[in-house]
Amino acid sequence: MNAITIGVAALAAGQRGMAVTGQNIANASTPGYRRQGVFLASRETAGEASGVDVVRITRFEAPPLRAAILRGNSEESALAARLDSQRQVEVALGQPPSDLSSLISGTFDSLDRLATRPNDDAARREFFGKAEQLTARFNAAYKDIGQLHSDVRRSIVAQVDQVNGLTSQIAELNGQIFNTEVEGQSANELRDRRDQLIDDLSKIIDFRVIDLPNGVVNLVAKDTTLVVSEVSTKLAAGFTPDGKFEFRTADDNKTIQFSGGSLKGLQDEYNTYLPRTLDRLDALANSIAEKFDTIQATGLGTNGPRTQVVGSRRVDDPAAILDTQNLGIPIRNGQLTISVTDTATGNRTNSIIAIDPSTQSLDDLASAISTATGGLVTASVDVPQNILRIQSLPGYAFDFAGRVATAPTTNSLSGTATPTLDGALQSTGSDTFTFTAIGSGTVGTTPGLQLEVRNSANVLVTTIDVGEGYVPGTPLSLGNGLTVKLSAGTVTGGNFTADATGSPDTAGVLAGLGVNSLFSGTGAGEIRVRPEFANSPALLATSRNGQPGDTSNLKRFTDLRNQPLIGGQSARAEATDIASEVGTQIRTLDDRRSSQAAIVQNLFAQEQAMTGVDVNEEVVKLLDFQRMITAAARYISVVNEALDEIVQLVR
Amino acid sequence: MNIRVTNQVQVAATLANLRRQSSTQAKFQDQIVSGFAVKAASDNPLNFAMLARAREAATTLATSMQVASEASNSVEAGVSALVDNNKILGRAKQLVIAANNPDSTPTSDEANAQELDQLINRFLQNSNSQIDGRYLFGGDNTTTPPFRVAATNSDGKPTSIVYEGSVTPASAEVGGQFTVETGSVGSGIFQSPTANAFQSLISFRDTLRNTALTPTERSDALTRHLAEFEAAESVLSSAIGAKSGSASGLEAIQSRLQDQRIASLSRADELGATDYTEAILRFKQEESAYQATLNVAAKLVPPSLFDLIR
Repeated sequence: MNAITIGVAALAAGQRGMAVTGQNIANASTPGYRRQGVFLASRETAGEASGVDVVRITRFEAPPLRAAILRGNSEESALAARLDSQRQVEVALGQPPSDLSSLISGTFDSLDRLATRPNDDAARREFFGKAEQLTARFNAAYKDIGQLHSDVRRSIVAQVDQVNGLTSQIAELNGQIFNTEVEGQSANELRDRRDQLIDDLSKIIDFRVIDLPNGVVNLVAKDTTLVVSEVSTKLAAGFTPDGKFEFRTADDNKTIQFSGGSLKGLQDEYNTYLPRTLDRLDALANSIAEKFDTIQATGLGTNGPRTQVVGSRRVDDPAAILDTQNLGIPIRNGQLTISVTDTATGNRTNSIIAIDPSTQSLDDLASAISTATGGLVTASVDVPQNILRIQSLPGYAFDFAGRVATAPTTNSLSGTATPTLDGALQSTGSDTFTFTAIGSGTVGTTPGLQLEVRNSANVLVTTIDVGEGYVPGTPLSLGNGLTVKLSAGTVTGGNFTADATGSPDTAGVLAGLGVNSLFSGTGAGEIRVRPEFANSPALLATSRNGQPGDTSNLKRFTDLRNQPLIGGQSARAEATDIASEVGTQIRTLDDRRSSQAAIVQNLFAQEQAMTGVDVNEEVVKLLDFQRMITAAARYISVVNEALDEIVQLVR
Repeated sequence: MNIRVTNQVQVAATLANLRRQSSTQAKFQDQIVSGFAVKAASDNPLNFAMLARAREAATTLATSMQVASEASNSVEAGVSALVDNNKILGRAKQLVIAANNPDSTPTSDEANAQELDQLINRFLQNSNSQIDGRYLFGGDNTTTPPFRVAATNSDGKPTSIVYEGSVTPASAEVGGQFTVETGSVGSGIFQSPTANAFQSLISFRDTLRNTALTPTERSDALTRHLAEFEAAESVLSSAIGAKSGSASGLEAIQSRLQDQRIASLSRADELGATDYTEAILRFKQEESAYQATLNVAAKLVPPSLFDLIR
């Protein structure tokens, strides 16, 4: 009966072979499936051949390639996560002509157009429109990138949960594989599932896989174990004291550093790249606001001096010293010149206030302004907004343009004529000018009667005729932005002096507190054009001497175009550089990701060459096993016929 | 090359190729449709900064050309007013000569005086010339008429004209390099201490109407008036020369700005515009490759061996 046994064994082996081949064909497209092979061996019983045995069902593996693929996955995923984030940053920054660089340029272009018609309301409105477009782009870019920053944070938290889920499942499968294989059964399907989970995990974090002989795998990230046999380590995402994301083990609170995987890419974006772009936007917005606001605050609009201004930048505590208030636009040691004009007479006096942010609070500053101006101008702090309000008494107006006081600082001029000064010094420094009478006689009548003007370095500035031909009371230009006029009367000698400044706010206090400023708010997210400009374009300070056609302050605005504002480059160049940095990162990340994807694809092809299912190959095997079964069946039939013949002999 | 090529590998390779080809096609399609090869920094980080500079230069130069054109209009309007005032002074000189003629009579003097009244008004109007609502001879005080009649005689004719403009000129910067005076200080041109054109015209008119003058006094006065008009003409001519120089300078600047703008636009095109020939060829190339990939994919898993089993 051994012959029947042999035939039956062959039938069983053939059926098993067909089953395995069928499983291979069925899973030819199943991700993570490793092809299986049937290994047959001749069976011998008591020294006699007794058929065929299925020795084992082999699962094909390529561990070195798998390890390389896992590393490749981690690297590619980290790059892909960063690439995705940076692409969103680029979208947020906008494209020409609505990107920051183009809008900065457009804002300056609109200022340039004011050069020939500085008091034209339509041209002024065009400028405000452009400035509003610029601030809106800053706001939108900052908000979108800030939102992305928050989204990245949520993704990190979600992916940490995903990691914990995957390591837990891998640990569980470790146990199932061990239990199955220790009983001598095949756990190939379980191994496939575990490999797929490990593959998925490698796209989130990087780790090493340590294969143990008992079918168990341990996963180790740097020096921290993630999975040991049936135990997984839970991860937790948290923040460092400086607000950066970090990963720790939930049990022993040990820091884990990843160098690959999407989690690493997201962590880098959250901790480094997104904050860097946000910081650069903030710095650029603040730099633009500081420069524009300083110029705006120290100039004069078409309507001249103001009777009330309200700051647009608050402090947290008006009683605390200014240095502790984290102002977006810092205030420095320096001085502020306030000019107070009697609107009835046109007489103007200047008050100089020393500013020291390390000793003064906003309350102190308000008191100092009120005191220095003798109460003609009062400053107070609006609570709870904590902003500075400055207003003048009725009949007075004030400005910070630094125009000279109408009366000389000192006056020892002999005679009955009185000098009156006007204008603003067209330079950035300060100076004291001395006007000395040359000759003696009647203003407007005596030939050769002159005033010699020298600066504080005793350098001759100019000599002006006030004798014959001069019409008393007519202003005469000194050629430096200042004018002087003498009333009718006599001059018999002596001199007078006038203090003049080209920088009325060396402390930057007006920009810091948003007093008389063009913009409100600080930082890219908050900067806005003050709404009152939309209704009153005349507020734009194009002048320093108060004349409608004066463009001296406009020139200070337009000169900003090419001035190094931040990092040694102009505002537009900085905006372009921010976009270029992001663009370069995208290009680099994309190239690296493509290259890495090609490597992984190549490794995958190599792995598939060893472990993947080739359907044609399986069909050939199927035919082979079909023939094996056919032959075994035929063999049994022949044996059966032989036995029948033998039985017939007995009858 | 691997001996065993599985379906998964073929499918993965096909998908990767299709994705890449679709992406490349989309990129070239966008370039062809928009006309821009560099829309974002990531399209070409190296060229992006240069492109931004070129585009900014082109728009800024266009603005500068507009400013130059407006400044040029101001200057030319100023020249026109000055030239007309110079003609008035020339006519006044002719009237001086006519008045100095022994044949002149009180009637002819009065006729000439009446003409001078007209000339004074015209001179005043020219000196208060405006362009786009801005006074041309009030310095940087562009919104107030610079010259005002301060006193009149019994006939209501001006006897004193005062300057109420600014002593600081209004200027405009063109192209960041050239500053042009768009609002001149009128007192320096028409009422300088050495040549007060208004006062000279008024004084001459009053001389013609002054019947109390002796012939000698009249002759001396007319000689003085002639000298005054010549001095005033000299000041005006100098101002015309300066303004004409500015006008020529502006013309040259406009021409230079135009050349620079064309160069910037050309540079921007070179750096960022679509090269249509290349874009279309590359698009067609990718389209062909895409079609080929699809065709090959359709034949990836031929059921040939399954057919054999039948």
